[in-house]
Amino acid sequence: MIECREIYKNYGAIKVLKGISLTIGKGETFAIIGPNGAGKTTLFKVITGESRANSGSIRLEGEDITNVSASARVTRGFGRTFQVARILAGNTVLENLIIAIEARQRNQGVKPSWWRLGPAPDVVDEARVLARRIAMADKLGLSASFLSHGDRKRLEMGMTLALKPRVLMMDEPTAGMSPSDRHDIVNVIKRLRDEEGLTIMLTEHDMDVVSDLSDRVMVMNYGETVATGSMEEIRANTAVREIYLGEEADHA
Amino acid sequence: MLEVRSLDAFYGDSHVLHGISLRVAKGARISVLGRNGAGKSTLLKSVMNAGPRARGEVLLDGSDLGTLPSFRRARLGLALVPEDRRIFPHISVMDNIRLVEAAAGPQGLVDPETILAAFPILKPLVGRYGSQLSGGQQQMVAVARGMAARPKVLLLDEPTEGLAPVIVDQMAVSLTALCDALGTGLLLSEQNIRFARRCTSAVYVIESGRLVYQGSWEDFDARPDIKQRHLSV
Amino acid sequence: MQIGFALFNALAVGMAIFLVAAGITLIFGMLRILNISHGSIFMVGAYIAFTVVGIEPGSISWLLVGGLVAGGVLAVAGLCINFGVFRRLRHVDEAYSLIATFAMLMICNGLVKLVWGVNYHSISAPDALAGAIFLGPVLVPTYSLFIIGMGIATFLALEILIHRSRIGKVVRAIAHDEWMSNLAGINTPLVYALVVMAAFFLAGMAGGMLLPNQSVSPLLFESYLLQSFMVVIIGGLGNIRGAFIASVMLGLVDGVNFLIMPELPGLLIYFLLVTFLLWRPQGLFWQPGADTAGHTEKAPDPTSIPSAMPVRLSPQIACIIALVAVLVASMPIYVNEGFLFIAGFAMVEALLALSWNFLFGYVGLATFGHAAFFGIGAYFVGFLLRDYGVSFPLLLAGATALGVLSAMIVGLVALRRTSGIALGILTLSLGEILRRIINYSKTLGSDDGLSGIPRPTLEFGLFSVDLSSERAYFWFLCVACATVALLLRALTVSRFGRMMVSTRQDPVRAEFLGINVQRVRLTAFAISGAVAALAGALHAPWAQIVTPDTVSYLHSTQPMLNTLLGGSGFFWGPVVGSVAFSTLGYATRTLAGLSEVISGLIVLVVVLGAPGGILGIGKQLGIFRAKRPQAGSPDDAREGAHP
Repeated sequence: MIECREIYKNYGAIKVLKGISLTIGKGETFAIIGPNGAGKTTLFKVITGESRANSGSIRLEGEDITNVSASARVTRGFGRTFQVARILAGNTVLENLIIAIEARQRNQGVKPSWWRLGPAPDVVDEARVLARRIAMADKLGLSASFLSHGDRKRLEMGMTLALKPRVLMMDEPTAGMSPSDRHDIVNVIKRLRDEEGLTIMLTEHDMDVVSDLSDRVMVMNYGETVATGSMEEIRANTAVREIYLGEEADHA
Repeated sequence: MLEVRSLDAFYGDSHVLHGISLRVAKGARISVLGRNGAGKSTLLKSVMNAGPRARGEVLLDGSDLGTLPSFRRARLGLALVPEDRRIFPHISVMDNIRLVEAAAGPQGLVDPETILAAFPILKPLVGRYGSQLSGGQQQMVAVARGMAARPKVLLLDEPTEGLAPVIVDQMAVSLTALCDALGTGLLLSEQNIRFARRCTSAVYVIESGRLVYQGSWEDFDARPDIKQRHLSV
Repeated sequence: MQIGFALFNALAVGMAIFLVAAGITLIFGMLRILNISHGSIFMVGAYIAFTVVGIEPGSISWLLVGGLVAGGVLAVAGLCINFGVFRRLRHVDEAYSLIATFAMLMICNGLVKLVWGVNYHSISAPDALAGAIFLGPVLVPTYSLFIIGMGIATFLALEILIHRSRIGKVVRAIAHDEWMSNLAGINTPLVYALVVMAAFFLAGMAGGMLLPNQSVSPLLFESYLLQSFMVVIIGGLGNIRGAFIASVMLGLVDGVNFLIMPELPGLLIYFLLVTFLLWRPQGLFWQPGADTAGHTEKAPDPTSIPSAMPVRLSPQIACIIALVAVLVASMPIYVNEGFLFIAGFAMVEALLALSWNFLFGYVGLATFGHAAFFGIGAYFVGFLLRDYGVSFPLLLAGATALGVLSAMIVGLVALRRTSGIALGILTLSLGEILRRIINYSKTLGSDDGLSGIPRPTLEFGLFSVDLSSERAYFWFLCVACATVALLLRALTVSRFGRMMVSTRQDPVRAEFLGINVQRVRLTAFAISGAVAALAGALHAPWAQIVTPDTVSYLHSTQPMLNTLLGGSGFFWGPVVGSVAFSTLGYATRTLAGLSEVISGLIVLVVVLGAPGGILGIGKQLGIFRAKRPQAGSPDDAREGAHP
């Protein structure tokens, strides 16, 4: 599904990514872990198109998308959530979902009607259904600026799902969440993975979440791949224990 | 020395801290443990009046700091080393340290020899610009800068985050040495339990903005359930 | 010899610019506020110094005394302005701080007219500076040398203070990271106040020193205003070394301009600026953490985002709208000609302001040169209607197309490279270039503009509508403006409108919804330009005269003022603002100076106290909030769209 080859990225003199290669299969859930500053977020941004690699190539289902803009990657099936949820704080929850659905329709070439003021009824209906799916049906009219951190993440997830992506890219989906929110979001992700067969790539600090969700894990440090494999293999890897898991691996 | 009484803190409309009370006695070293987002940074910033809107009392040497702005609190003997370090990139390491002169009392800054003795890793770096330091070096400078004004209590926010284990070990040595030498109290916010144990004598645990545990490290170790419930990741 | 003389002259011009620009640079570097009023502060300084020294200052030291007194007075004023205005502006959107300082400009200009009158005064240089000396083979006026000396001395003093002293380290630390500086025990509010006082003192000093350089009049503020901005921009937003070098460059370019095309003064400077902005929008010396803080994109305040959802009209509101419509349409019957004239202008200005806020409110782009599009439309229609009698509907269509075309060209170039302040200054420069070209063009009437523009007759084959009477054209204006405004409104509540508000709020999120942000911005730019040009086209036959003033940057600020006064977070805010401003202008029309002071004060109070504008106040008071069952939701008015 996604194939990265020899990605290099520098910020000035600092080498942030030093030749990362990875392959994510269709329907696979792939996690990247590693200490802060290891280059996880940079790798993420290179794959989503927010920043361009200095060299290397990225393919999506065989198509070379290395030089495709972020928005064009979205039209090709990428969906992305952020560590701090990016939502439209000046709009209501319903409007946020409507905007996302309309954006998808536009990407698919659906023309809006010339005479109608406001969103089409089918768009509003779809937004309401979506709101129920993310358990926010009771907050439709609320301005998104009043949402809690957890609700924002949930709404962002809803907006991303509205795009009907094939690949879901999630940067720290559970960061800063309360345990119950964390539990909820993990269940949502699991359902997506199992029911809709989405390919998922995520970075995450919470090892429980990582081992709960991922099929494969990649460990990064100083811009390089330290190890790739299943969670059990990673836990058993001495290099990984040294740089990252440390004590945690002992107590796990 | 430093005492916090039923502190509530808010960011905008969200209520982050709920009735936190704690004490750091003169020269004592205390850890605050908790997960990401538990409210550790907010606690330290509230003590300093540097960001969150806070309600409750913060007392230093028995007198309430009220609504004093953070620069006044710095002059009274509190020093916050923020989690993102905030080294000034356009001036040298030495100038970064000297910048806190405004906060130093009549004794003036700690002399550079003492600081460099505690942080030998900084010796070759004093002339470098802040922008030329690695993350670990920046953290060392940030702690050194925090200590330079001889604060009564150092508020240290997750100093080990993102640091290599070797550097973490050095940090623990330097930090405790300097605190001992200057008689500085320490309020340390951490997720790294091993580091916190090496540096401090007692533990507070916060979860979702509430204090859920306080006690010595021995008690803490005798209660694995605390760690399991509030800290395990 | 000629070259040598010109060189010294150019240097003197450059140093004079630097003396004024130094203060803007200081304030910008520290507070990230581009103080538009600085030219006017400088003018006030000049007037104070003039009051002290009189027409014929006896000696250099007397001139210095004048400068010091002016500097001292302004430093105190700066202290008050810092606490009253600047302190409140530091955490708001750039556009608001620009408008607030523009309001200060209006207040200063008005005060000058009130206190010192509108006459010109020429101040002669003191005897010691009146002559000229030979430097080698070159004859140089001593006064030029004096200015160059003062400029260099000021630069050296600032350079040492900022880059070589302990104080400078503290100042730059605060500029870089105010929060951390506070933690380091630095009294940052005090340092801010001192920097602002220093900047104002410099403006006062410059006012005194430059007295003999030009005549003193209420137009003095303009002579350095734009140039000193350019210096700040080219120098790298707050970098004093950059400002100095840029000043010298500007002086030299102006000198060259004078040599090769004296009939088009100042044109080269604008070309230089435009080229520069496109090449290096961050300025010569900009580097993060040098003299200034990095550019951090602030997310806009959620309450300032206009709604992109249609609102169902309640019967009460519908009645009020109908009543207003009838009142306006029947104006020709019950108001006098003068008032009717103003009302017609207000409608055109409202349309212009709507087009400006279409960009600012919905996409977040603030242009400072919107009058250029307006002027293009006005001149196009005025010229072809008067001299060739082209059919009016055709002209309106042509003006709109011309607006789209010019906005596309500007947008394609500008939006790719710039945003924020750089975009503002870029569009302002393009507008000024246009104004200078029009000024130069004999065909377009130069300074006097196009006068005697006839009001047209609309031919519809079978019947025709004669618009030559004031009354008829007024009604035509009503219909045309209302139609265009409603079309624009329909666009903002369409899918495209919702794409616009999402790019304004969070371009990254929009990008990850698959929205091509650049294309949305460019489309909005083109539509906005088209409406502005159309407003100009409607304006020409109403005013029956079009002058270069229509294109000037002062006219460009009018839609901004109207928008922010009315409320940029509302589609109809600009209309409310235009009505308020026109009423204000009409009520104070006979009081030279006072009207500017009053309008300035009102704008300042609105921006500082109620950034939501008049409609924002109304919303807070709940005047037009529809009552709905969802009591808990703070923004329920917007739910109205969904049955």
